Amino acid sequence: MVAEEAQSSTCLECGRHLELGHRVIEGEHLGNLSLEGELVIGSKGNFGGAKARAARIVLQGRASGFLEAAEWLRVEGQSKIRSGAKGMKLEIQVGASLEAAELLHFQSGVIEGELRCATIRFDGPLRVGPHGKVVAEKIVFSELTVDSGGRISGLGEVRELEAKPPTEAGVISTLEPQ
Amino acid sequence: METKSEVKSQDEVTAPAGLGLQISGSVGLDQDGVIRAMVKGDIRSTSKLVIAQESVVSGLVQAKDIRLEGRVEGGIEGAGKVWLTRGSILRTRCVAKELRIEPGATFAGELKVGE
Repeated sequence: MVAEEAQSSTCLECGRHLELGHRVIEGEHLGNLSLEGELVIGSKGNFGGAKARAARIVLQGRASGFLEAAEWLRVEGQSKIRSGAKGMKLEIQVGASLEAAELLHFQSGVIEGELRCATIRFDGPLRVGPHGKVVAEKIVFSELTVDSGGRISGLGEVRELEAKPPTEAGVISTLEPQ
Repeated sequence: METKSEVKSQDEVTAPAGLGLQISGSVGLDQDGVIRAMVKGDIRSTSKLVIAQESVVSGLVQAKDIRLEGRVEGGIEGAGKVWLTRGSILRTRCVAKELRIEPGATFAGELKVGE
């Protein structure tokens, strides 16, 4: 029986080597990664390859290369991304922070910690929680909710998502004239 | 010359049925209000304010809580909650303590919430 972390396969379409398991980076990692499972970049870890792809990425440390998360990218530590990231969902936990130099592009975002970047784009909804803070030069979203206590500053722009059904009402109650 | 309209006893600044109301100058309210008009100027309120659908404000809107259903060109500054509904249009800037921008709203400009 081959250990899960040693299992791999080859993509039938592009021939790229795929790892089927999970991977944890605790130190410096050079070289690209392509995982079907979860990638954890530990608090002392640094992904130094050109690109890392995984279904789920937990970021506690740093990434010099580009990160791509098919499901979500979750920031749990005081982290930095130098080359940008993209994926389905960006989550920054309470007490965590992310500083990004290049474009961050996600389908949706939940920011409970701190996010500082040049340009961030969400094709769908962005939510900033009560302890969340977003500072960016440009912020693009299709809908936005900033809870009481949350902070956001930058140049904002709504880009409408194509054929997206309306969402439920957010946390702000309807203002009814008396 | 600037004309300042003060609405103290009415809840709405609106036109009689079938007519469009146009206001040139600033509007001040000290109660909750609904604006159903074309305002070429600023609107300042110390309470809750609704800018109704098809209303257009060319200047700045300042209030405690603001619900935008129409269009504001000069920016919105809310001391409390600001809500941009589907179909609303806001330009220039949005300042608030809490914010909700629904899908289908239009906004481009400076964004400052909670700061």
